[in-house]
Amino acid sequence: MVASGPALEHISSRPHHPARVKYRWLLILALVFPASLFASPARSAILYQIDPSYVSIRFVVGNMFGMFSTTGYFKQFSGSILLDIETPQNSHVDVTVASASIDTAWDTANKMLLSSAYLDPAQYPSVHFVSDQVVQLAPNHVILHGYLTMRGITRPQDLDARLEGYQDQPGLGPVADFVVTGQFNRRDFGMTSDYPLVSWKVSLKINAHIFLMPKSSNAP
Amino acid sequence: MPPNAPPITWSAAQRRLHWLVADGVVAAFALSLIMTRLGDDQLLLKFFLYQIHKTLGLLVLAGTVARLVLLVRHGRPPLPDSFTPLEKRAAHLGHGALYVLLIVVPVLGYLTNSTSPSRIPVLFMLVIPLPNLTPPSQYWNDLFVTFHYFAAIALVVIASIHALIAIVHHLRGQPILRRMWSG
Repeated sequence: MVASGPALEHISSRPHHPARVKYRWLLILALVFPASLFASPARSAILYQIDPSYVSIRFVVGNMFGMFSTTGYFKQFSGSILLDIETPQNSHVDVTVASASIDTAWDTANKMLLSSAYLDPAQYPSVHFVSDQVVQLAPNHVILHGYLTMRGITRPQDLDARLEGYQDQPGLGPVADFVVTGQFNRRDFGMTSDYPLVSWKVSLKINAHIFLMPKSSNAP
Repeated sequence: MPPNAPPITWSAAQRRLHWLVADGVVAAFALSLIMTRLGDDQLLLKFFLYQIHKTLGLLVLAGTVARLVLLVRHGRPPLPDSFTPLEKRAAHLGHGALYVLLIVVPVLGYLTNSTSPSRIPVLFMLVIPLPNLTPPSQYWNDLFVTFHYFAAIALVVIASIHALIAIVHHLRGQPILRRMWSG
């Protein structure tokens, strides 16, 4: 269902479809403050709203020095992605995640993560990531340099974004599958409990299924 | 091959395994009383106690399987002639129930772990992870927790009666406790 590299080459080999050629450069997952729209000269940028039905935000922690691991998801989040076709470095991401929507499918872990030792949604209702700079490493690969805010603490955070699939769906237009990964040390955000039962390192994996043909209401 | 005449006494291996399994049951039961009462503020300790409980359960299971193999191959000494036919029947029934529960309780414990939404594996001896053979399911987990609990209660109750009867017979001068202790 998901086409990868060769399909992109195939698309790019059809220059009589200018719209598709452009998407070859749409390799950036970005969520945008509306302000950045005005800040950038981006006539070529398209703003996409994040739809949680097509995006998953997963985290994984190791347990007991990696003898096993625990996976969970954030269920509620919103934000936007500005994809700049001509100049990927003008792209931008801004996403806000509801801390209380964390879910590991295990009540004990959920209670733990919702406690004041972890996400503490009562005090800090959201987790926020905003990109600051987008660096393109390869046609299908960018690094998002940005800032992650959790428990009221903001720290620099890099996310690695790759375009892993691309397909043209009849009636829906081109659809891109992005995989975004990153990791942080939970101690940096003041979550210092339960080591070594819970590793310091937290890995993030975000899968985003983006309909590249924006609805008219989403277009800037 | 089962011997034609029953042996006069338990083999050394049978005696050792009997007491190892008994110790395992006592320790696993004692641990269960502590570990289930720990709060989530003592998660690491709770984790270790559960893992030791799981290891003990597996050792009880392995020990019981070994005992059944020895029972088939070596046989067992007969019950004292002083037992009435009813007492002999009750004794065989009780021992049968104990063997069944010594298998069933650890298996239910494993299934409890395997169906748990926590996805925490059994770490045998705290380091060797055993695969979970079932998918997680809150529904089945609740069922297995209940079955494991009641089967374990039954095991502890019957084993206590078993121990009590052995002590009573010992005090009355029957050699049954001595022959399990020292052959």
